[in-house]
Amino acid sequence: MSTAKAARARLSTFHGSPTFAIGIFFTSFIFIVALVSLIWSPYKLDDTTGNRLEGPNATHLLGTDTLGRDLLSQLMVGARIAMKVGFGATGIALIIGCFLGLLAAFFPGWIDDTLASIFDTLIAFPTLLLAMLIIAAEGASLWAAILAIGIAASAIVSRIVRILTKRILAQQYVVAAKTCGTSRWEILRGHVLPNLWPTLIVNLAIIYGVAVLTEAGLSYLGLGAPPPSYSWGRLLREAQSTVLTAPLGAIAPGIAIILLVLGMNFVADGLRELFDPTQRGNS
Amino acid sequence: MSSLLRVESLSVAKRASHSLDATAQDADQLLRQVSFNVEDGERVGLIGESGSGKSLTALAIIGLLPDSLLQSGSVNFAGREISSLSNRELQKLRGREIAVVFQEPATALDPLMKVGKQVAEPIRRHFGLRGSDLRRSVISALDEVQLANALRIADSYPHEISGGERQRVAIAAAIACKPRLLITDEPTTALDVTVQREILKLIQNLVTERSMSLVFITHDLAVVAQVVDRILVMRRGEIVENLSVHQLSSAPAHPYTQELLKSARLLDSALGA
Amino acid sequence: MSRDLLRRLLFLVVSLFVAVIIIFLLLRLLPGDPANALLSINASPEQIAAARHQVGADKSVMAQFITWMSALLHLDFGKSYISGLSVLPSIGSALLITLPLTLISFVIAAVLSVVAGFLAAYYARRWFGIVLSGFSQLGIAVPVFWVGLILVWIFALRYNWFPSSGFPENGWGDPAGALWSLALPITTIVIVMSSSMTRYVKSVTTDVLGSDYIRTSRALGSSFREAFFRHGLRNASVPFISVLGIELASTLLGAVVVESVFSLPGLGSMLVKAIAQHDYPNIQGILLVTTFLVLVIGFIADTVQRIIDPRLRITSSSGIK
Repeated sequence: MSTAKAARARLSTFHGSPTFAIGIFFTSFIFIVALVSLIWSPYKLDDTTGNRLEGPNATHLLGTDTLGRDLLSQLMVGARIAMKVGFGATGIALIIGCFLGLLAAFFPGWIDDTLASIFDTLIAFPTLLLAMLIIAAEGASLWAAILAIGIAASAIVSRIVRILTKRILAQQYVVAAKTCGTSRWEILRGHVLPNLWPTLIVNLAIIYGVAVLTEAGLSYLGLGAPPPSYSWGRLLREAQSTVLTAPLGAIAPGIAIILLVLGMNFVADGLRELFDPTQRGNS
Repeated sequence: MSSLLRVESLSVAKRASHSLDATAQDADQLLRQVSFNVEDGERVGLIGESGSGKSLTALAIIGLLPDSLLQSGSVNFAGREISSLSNRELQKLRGREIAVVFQEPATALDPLMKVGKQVAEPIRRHFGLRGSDLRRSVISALDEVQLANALRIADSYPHEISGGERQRVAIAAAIACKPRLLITDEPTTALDVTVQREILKLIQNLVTERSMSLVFITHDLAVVAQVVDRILVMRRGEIVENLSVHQLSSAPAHPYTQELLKSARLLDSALGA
Repeated sequence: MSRDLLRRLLFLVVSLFVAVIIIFLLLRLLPGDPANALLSINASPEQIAAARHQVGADKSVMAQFITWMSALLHLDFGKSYISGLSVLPSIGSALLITLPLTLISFVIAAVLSVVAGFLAAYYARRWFGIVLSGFSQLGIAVPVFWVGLILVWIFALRYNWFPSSGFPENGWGDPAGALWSLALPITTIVIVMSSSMTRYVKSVTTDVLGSDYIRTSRALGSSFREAFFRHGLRNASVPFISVLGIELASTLLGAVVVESVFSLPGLGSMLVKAIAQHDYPNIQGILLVTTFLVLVIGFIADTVQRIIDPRLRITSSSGIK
């Protein structure tokens, strides 16, 4: 476990492995596409003037779907949704996870034990299943999906936060601080948080990827945001029946998902190497 | 007079680096032209701070450097050039002629295997003993390292015995096949102070009784001065001093050694020794 | 060790009980009347009351729970709101597809990943290991249903080698047909699962390869192969088995999604349909069965770990220092 200070020191001499650079490139690419889609896309989404199920050509760079809508535009809007899901779910997981994890670590005893076993049980459940459960309760919508995935992922964050915080609190210098009368808040701010955020960020990057994949799965099953939201998963669902005649519709959204998730994973690996170079190389 | 161990111009460097930075090349050279001799029955201390390359020297001698490191130079044992030997040939030497005891007794032993079985491993391989003969050898090796209740310990797992006992077990496994050269890499650093003294005495006795040569690697000058006849000081991959223990207190040449001495003395006087 | 075993069995039963309560409460907290699923939009108040009575929603929560628990203990999971079919038997026939799919995929993926993970760790610096690691990175970034989709496109539609969907009418009565239908789904799951498992195996192997006890063994004369097989394997399997439990659960989940791609009438399709139709008895039943399976798998993985690793056992004789 390295402190934030050491991490910052390494940052200045960080050359970065090639995978990290690729990761940054991929994710930035998708980010930018999503941003651009806010103001412009080749066609409007309800524009069905194109020929149906066209292959790529001059007017429609990636072709069209069964209703004549432009695939490229759909992908761009899908990028926006993927961003929302990624940041939304990760944000929720962060907030809930930190809150519960810190709570468990700072108040040992039955609170801690109960929370710990809840985290462990929840983690055993795959994220998708948990998300499906919550969707079953709330009904299918984009925000339900984001909330569901966020809650499911928060179990992972809680457990990490709890274990790490306990480890930090057990360190000599924190015990010393406590005996000097430092308040819990100050310990939290001064010792716990600075040592927590590197590991947290790495895991959040991974959760981001998991969130995007899970939402794609939900949408594919028809349990995600209903049309006219064009989540990439939803696009794949629609494309399934026409895959023989218009394969690009089934290939392109998948590639988009891979770019984003793989990119995020590479970024996570790069960050992990940055914060703790003693980790045996995994790439 | 031919030495038991003769190391000449031993150099170790990292195989490749990601960085294209020219100044980093220097940092990739881990051992530079290390040369020293160990005579029959001689006890030599190898001292240096962490990162000085002392553990690497031990690994290089027995040919167990990781693949990512390149080794050059000569290592001559009992008149035979061993640095160019194949792994299979070296296996015959390891544990039988040259043995190494490492620093962390907690992790040096397989946590899932009974301790006696682990001591038996080299005996079985080098002497071909089996069954009750093997068992007798194991118990006798454990007795030699002054382990009371050797039978119980042989049937225990590493986590069931204390740190000091674990280190004795590691030493037992190392000397079981009566090697001519014993290399100990920080054998006492991970142990309690009281236990340290016992292990040191144990090593001293064993080395004397069996006329083994000893290379004692440590960062602690005070510890090693009691056990060895000669001291080699390493710094940043180089040997900077090669003195007998007597000469150490009277005429150390290198400023680094003087630093080491000074801090050792300071500590001594602070402790009222 | 048997005292420890009993204690953990007890914990298993308690966890199961807690899960039952949670599942029960979760669905009772849902907005919307359970009875709604049984009715059409313009039902009369009497019809609504009758439906609620049928569903048991007019009793208190506690009473509902007791009714449900006693039914459970008789293995009566109720009847589907939509089809009227008994839940447990429906789950049973769905499992006939999901379980073989999961288990076969899991075994193949586990074997592949043990080999691939080891090679990736051992040859970490050579191009071979890097390529393997690269593939496993790719495999975890890809949505499993997309892999299925692509496989269907290539091998079922373009080349008619495998069926693109469905399962034989008489199920396993036609074993060749059944296996044929499962071939692409299994391949899909294997591709994704072995990627994720390879990463674990690689990480565990890397730790073992750099371990001190292997170094000790080699320093005393073992060849690398001897040291690895005598010490490395067993030590590597301990963390590996704990991860296997989780991975099996993930495989189960992968099967759920993949069943949709290939229109296999397994547990996954059943669950998705039940959620879309608010068919609560089915949802409850599937959740219960899945939870039970996940908990039991965890228990077994735990037990196996204890058999291999003496540090996890609570010995009655010598104390632990």
